Amino acid sequence: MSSEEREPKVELEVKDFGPIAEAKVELRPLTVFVGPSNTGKSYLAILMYALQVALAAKLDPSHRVTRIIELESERPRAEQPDDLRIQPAVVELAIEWLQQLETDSSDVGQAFATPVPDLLSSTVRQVIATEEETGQSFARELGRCFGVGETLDRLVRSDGLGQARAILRFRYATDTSDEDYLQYALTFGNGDVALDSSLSEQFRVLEATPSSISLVMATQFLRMRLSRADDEEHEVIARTFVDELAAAAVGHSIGALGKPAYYLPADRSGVMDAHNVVISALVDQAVEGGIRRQRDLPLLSGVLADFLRELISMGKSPEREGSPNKELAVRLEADLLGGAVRHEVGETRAPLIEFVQGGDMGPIPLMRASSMVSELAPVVLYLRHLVDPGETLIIEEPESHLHPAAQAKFASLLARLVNSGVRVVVTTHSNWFVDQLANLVRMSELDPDDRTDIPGHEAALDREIVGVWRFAEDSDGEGSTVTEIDFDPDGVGYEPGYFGIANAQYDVWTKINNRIANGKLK
Amino acid sequence: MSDFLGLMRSRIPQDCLAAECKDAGCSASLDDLEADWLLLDLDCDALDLVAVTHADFILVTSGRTIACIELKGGTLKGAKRQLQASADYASQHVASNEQILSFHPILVHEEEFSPARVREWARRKITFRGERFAIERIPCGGRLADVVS
Repeated sequence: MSSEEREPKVELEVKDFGPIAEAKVELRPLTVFVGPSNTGKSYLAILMYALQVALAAKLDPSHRVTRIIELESERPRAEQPDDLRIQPAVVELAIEWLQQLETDSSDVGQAFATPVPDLLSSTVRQVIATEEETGQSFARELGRCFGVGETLDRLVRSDGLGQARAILRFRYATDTSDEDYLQYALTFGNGDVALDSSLSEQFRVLEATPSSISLVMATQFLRMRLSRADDEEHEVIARTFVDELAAAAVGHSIGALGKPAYYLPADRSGVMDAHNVVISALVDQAVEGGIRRQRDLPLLSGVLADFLRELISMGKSPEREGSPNKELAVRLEADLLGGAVRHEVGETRAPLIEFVQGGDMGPIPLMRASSMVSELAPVVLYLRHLVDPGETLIIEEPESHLHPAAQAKFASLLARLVNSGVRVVVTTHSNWFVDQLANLVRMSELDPDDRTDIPGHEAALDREIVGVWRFAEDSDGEGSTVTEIDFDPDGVGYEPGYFGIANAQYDVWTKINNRIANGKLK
Repeated sequence: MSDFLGLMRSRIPQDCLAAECKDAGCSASLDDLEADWLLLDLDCDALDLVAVTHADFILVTSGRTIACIELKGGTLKGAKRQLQASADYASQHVASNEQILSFHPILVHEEEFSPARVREWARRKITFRGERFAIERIPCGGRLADVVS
């Protein structure tokens, strides 16, 4: 099975969440949310981000390995809490399996290619279906990203039934049935949070293992531990092994959702201009701590805090030399900015971000550069330092501060980013942006040799990898709903629902024009 | 009926007066028009006009308003030319030597304009007695009263 076939279909369904009454959205390599303000585009984008951050953190190899290493710091308890106990037969089987593995990593990988015994497999499935950590991290990230802390009730639609629901569904891309092999259903509101995880018979534990670096490392560590463990410790080691098998199985099964995501909030340009002020305030606050009473600084939402943190720590991440994303960053600078974004770490470790315009002009701080530069500078930096293929970049309102021609160019650049393997999620109000995507999708129907003379030909997008979703207020005032916009090759491609606005403006234009003309008739 | 509307009626073959504004699978409502009115069907044989070069109807009201109306169920091809021809006909024949206080070229159509088409249509003006009028639009099934004042 190819890696493309393994990438699952992922669907996010919500009910009574923020302003959204209900939505069911399939997450494709390029997912676009379009519609009026206050219909929940950002709510859904932030929800996606929060869930992905929670999953990616849980599966992060360094996190997994740290958990294992913590075993070393204390003698594992022979007596496990009841909810962590596994059957003696499973303990025996897991230990036996661990002992059979060779020590070098390649052999460990090879060993995992053999079928996991049924009993072990069913235990892994049970662990995935019953573990509570995922629900807790979903809730924590949701509260953090929306800046509501533990009061998730504030994210429930006010006219709803007091509870919101978010469901992540995973299905094999090649599967024609409607069955999800893995589903996380998070319900919150009325002071409660609950996660219901379910797996179908299709969920494959077996295929999870060979590709998991953290599992290979954990296995090696557990084997070492096993060599000097007494019988009492076997249960802990077996349970840990089962946990790692479960994490690897989930990691494999959720595809891109288990990889890092980055969020560029709509107010990024203002942050770019003011980030040094914000950092100074934080430093000031830290210095004053213990000397004066702490002032109440307003809380940042998690997406904004993460954005600031990425900016601050950007210097620690080397540039992605030779990566297609760095190439796109250079293209963005050349085609849209007409200059280069320079990032340095200052003496205070705060980032110094400047714009070097073409010609003889020296570097200028972003606050003196055009708003377009402040808007796009973080995109350049993210592509240069952070975002890798397979990861997700979420951009709110990419059209902000951009001339329509620049919006179209930026849309093409994001399309190229998608084609290089980065998953992109966009919220937008821009007809120009959506129209450009429609051109790129339509262009993909031409043979590559037949489109080389068409502007943007290198950014052609297959229709299957694009999902454009229209958010609209329900006519009864019952919250907003979300529907996919079908691509219409005989019309305008994607019709985002702006015809009504254009026609209303036209009608006013004709009324004014004809009133003036009729005045002259008299 | 006003003297003006009576005069207009006398200039029109009675067989060509219509009670409904309807053609090509599309219609416009005559409800709630503020003044008395008469509707001239330009496809009427007695007028001997070439249908493809004329709009479908001319609405005349007692308030000295004239509206040329083209109904399009599908493509909008030819609409501007048809409205212009009917504006000329209204000025030179129906209302010749009469003062007209208000003129409206109206396109009644099925689909909304796309934003790009809006810009295209904003440039398509109909000339009536030396003044240039923008083509007003209502959807099929819409009310003429919404644009005819």
